[in-house]
Amino acid sequence: MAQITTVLSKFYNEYKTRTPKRLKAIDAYLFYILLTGITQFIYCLLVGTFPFNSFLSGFISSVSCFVLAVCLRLQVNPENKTQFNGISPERGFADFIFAHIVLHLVVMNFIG
Amino acid sequence: MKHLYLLLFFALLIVLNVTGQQKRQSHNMAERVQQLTDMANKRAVLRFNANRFKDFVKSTPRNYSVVIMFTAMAPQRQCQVCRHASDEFTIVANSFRYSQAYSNKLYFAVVDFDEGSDVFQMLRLNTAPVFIHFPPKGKPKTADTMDIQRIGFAAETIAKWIHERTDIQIRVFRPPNYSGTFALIILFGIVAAFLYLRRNNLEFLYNKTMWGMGALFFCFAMTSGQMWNHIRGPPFIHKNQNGQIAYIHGSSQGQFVFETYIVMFLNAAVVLGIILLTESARGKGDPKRRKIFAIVGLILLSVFFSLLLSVFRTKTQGYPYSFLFK
Amino acid sequence: MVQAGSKKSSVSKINTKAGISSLIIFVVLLLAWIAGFSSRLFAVIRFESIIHEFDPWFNYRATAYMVKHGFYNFLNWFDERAWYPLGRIVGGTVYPGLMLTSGSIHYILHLLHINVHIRDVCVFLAPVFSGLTAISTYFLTKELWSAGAGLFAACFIAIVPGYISRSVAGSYDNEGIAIFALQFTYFLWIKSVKTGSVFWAVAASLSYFYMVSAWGGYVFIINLIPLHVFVLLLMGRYSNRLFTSYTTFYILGLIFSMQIPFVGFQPIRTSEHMAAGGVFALLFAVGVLKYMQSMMSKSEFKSLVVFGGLISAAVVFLGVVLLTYAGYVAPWSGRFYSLWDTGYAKIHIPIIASVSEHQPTTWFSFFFDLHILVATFPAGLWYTIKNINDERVFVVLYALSAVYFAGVMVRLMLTLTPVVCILSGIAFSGLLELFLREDDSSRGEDSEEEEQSTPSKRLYDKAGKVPKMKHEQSRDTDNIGPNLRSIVTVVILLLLMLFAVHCTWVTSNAYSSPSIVLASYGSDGTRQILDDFREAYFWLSQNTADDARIMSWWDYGYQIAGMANRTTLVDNNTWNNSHIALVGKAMSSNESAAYEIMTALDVDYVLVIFGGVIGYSGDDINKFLWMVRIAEGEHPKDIRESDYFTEHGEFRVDAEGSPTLLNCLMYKLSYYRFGELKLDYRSPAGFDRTRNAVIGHKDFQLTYLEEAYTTEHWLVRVYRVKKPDEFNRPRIPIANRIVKSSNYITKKNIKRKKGTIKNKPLVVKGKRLSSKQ
Repeated sequence: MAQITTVLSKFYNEYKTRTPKRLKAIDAYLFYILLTGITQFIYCLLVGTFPFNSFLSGFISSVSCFVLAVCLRLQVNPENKTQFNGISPERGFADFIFAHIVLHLVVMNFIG
Repeated sequence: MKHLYLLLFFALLIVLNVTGQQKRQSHNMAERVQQLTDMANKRAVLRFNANRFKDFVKSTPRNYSVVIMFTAMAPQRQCQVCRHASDEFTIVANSFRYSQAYSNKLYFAVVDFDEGSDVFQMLRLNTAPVFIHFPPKGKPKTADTMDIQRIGFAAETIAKWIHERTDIQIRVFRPPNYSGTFALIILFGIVAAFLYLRRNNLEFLYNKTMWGMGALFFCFAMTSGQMWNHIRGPPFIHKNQNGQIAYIHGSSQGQFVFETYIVMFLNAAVVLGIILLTESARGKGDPKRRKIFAIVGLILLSVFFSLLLSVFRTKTQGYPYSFLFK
Repeated sequence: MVQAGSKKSSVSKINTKAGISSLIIFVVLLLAWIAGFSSRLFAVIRFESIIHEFDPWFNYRATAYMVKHGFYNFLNWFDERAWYPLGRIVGGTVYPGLMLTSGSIHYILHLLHINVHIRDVCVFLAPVFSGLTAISTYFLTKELWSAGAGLFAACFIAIVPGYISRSVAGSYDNEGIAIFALQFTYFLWIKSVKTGSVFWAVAASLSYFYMVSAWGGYVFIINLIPLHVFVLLLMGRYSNRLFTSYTTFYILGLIFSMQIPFVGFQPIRTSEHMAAGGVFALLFAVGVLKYMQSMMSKSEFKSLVVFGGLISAAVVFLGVVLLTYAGYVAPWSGRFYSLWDTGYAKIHIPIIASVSEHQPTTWFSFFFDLHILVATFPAGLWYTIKNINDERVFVVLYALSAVYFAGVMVRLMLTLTPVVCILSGIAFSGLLELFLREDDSSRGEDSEEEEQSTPSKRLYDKAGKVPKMKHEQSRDTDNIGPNLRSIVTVVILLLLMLFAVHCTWVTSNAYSSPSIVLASYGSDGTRQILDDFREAYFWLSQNTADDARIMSWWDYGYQIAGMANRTTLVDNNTWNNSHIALVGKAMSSNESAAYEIMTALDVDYVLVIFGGVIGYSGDDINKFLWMVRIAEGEHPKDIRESDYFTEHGEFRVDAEGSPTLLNCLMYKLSYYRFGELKLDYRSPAGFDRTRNAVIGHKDFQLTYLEEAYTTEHWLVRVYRVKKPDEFNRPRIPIANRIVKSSNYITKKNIKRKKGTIKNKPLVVKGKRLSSKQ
């Protein structure tokens, strides 16, 4: 157990020093969305999922925001430059916006 | 005649019962049910001899049905079918025994010829196995004898037949076929052990030739209709009255097992031909060998494909095209 | 057709390399489209522009409704003319993609003032989409292998019978557009895996959305793509591109698929869709681990993985088990389950087993539908495995799963066909690429013939994935010799030509009959059109009350609704097994028992299909055993299959047939007055041509029904169900006297008793009726 805590703390330090600022901003956004998702989940456990499609659309929209943000983070990260050739950070951001437009149109339709 | 005898017999029984022993019998019924239930709790299929048969089946009144399999399990009788039938019957009985529908309305029993030949004589049975349902009231009708000649004696059909006769629905639960599972586990075990032994040299997992062979074999098996064979179970080859053997099914709706092997072989030969041709043109190795490869590949491709086409042609009416062979 | 394409292009001598190759690609694809389109027109040319078969009639009716009443009314459409007395909520039980597609094409054409009838849009939709399928197959193959293979694949899929069978003109069915959606989704998916771009993943999920709206086969996509991801993970080919493309695709596809009312919440409720979710979670876990790995040293990572891995595996497993156990996740539905346990359907779901499309596939059908491709695609598979990469794993999995499913069910041949075309394209292009190219390098750059192969060579070179090989080749001197090489080329071209003529032959002979208009050929080759179906349906629409209820076997439900516009009891949307069983029971009981069922269901007319006069094998007597089986499944007490067989277990309609069969409603309705009919001089009266037997029960009268209409060739027979006051009472004994079986003695007694009592209530009924009127 102790080993794991040391590992985690080391991980935290690494993260603080090595991650660029831009990615940290995205990470903060990710954390926020994670919180929204968790809140919704707790809400559904406590209150119930009565308008099931509304709950689903809310929950799925937060999950997909998270997913899309993670994708953006991966594409923006300079370490992954070699894996995503042809996708500049700007292109990644444009894709991100496009996916969000599509997503929210559907969510709006689904939330009823 | 048979029915008449049965009828007389039953009439006699009923008369006997009515005269004198009625009270004792009805008192007895609760006891009998109790006894039966106790026995059934121990074993799903009860073993009846002549006495028990009289006690539990012939005696009236009853409020339960009994399904009896008449069989001859002794080795000297050499009844192979009886063994299968007995297995299936036990499956049904066990499914009933451990289902929610389990009640004291239905019992399963078996009468062996060597233990209760009197019963066989009484019912004028001279074959085995026979499944007869004894309803709570009245004598068994013709429909109470299962027609195993026509519908067979798979557990499902027995359950369906029981459902028809008694209204008790039994969902057949086959104990998972352990032999298959066992073989699978052993296979996995061998593979795992093999992997473990060769853990330092797992290169062969990346051997594309092996994977390719496997995939190709699977494709050949499927496109030659092995799945059809598996589901429909056609004969291996067909022999007609004159003793002539047909390897190829005449119509396009059916096929024989051997025929599918032929097709599989032809397909594989065509594929081999294409691969040889491609390899020969790739331009590696000895020129002479490549030339031979090319010729062999070409022959494989054209000859075996035209064979395939001609087999196809024999099965299709009015198919106009052929290549090399008619 | 490839040959045709390259020949045509060889005429135009444009020297710019890119220009000529794109011109060739364009021309070949265009030719493929035209060839595919025109070979699907046999039915229209021979017969007329008409909707085929059974299901298309419903699709057509729904489309016409949508065009007339608008999209939202269509989604809320409650069809009271089907499944009487239950009705059917059409909007919620249909995949609307097909209707939407043709509806919007119709709308656009009308905007442009091209006034086509919606029927023509429906008839020609599938052939047009086959061209789109060819193009998307080209793109998919190009991503997987090379442009040359893509052109081959496009040409194959344009004319291959396995696909034509579902997309001839007039076969207005979901599959026609679904295969396009399938191929296009796969293309976009491959594209997104290759680039890792979110944009392509979104496009793939949009295309997936279209597929979900079009066909229930979307389940194949949503299982195949996760399988691809999973196998890539197993092979240790995880990459961030895979992560971005799959997660985006999955989550968007999930919410998209739930927009279709028919699909509803199934994507999160049923086991068929669970694999995709599981892979999504797994991919996330792998992604997090990889991320951590990049931040830490190896030993630290190892301890974390062991700890975290164990916990997460336990949590996921327990979660799935609990959810399934608590009933949140439905187990596999019967149709899908029957794909795995191949004996399942036969025992448990007779209605699935009764459809001929759900039978397993013989090698004959494989060869019939794919011809040479069935023998060559394993070669393509071989080379794909040999030169494996991320996206080729996909096509290998696609091939293996599709070939399995096609083996289990004839119908799923449709999903196998595209991948077979792709792989054969790869095999053939691999061959010709090598043989034509060496030809070229050996002979130099001057002969006329060489010009023909140059463009194709360049074409292959351009996107060829094996540049190393090319250099070797050019350095190597030619060894095989020009003669041998040209022989090989000629043989391959011959084989391809055989394939083309085979496709045309199969299309014209097997897949181009509308099945509501039949054609028969006389001995002198003249063709006779039998239009009995439409004759009968037209009669129904003109001579019956608008709300008349017509009982027929479910096969004809859609056609009656579509053409006669009358209420039906059951139709091809077999959602309610017990209702179908009730109709089956009515058909297989004797007349009086059937009459009770028919009055309970308010039946006015009964329609049966009878092929005994012209020898049509798809008639109701041949389907009759299925009616019995389905009825037996629900009413085991009243109907028993064994009663319909002779003592020897045969199904016979002649004098030796079982008495139950000879007295059931279906038999009587089919053979009523048939005993008087002499078809030709040689055969006796009442000779059934379909079953080659003289019928066993000839001169009988109908008590509860009367013949209303019989078409020219007796193919369709319509009977009117009498009202209770119309019975000709004394006839009952006559009808029953014919029956000699001892079983019927008791029944006769009962009926006699009934007859004496019945006089009284009959009068009462008659009075009540008269007082009402």
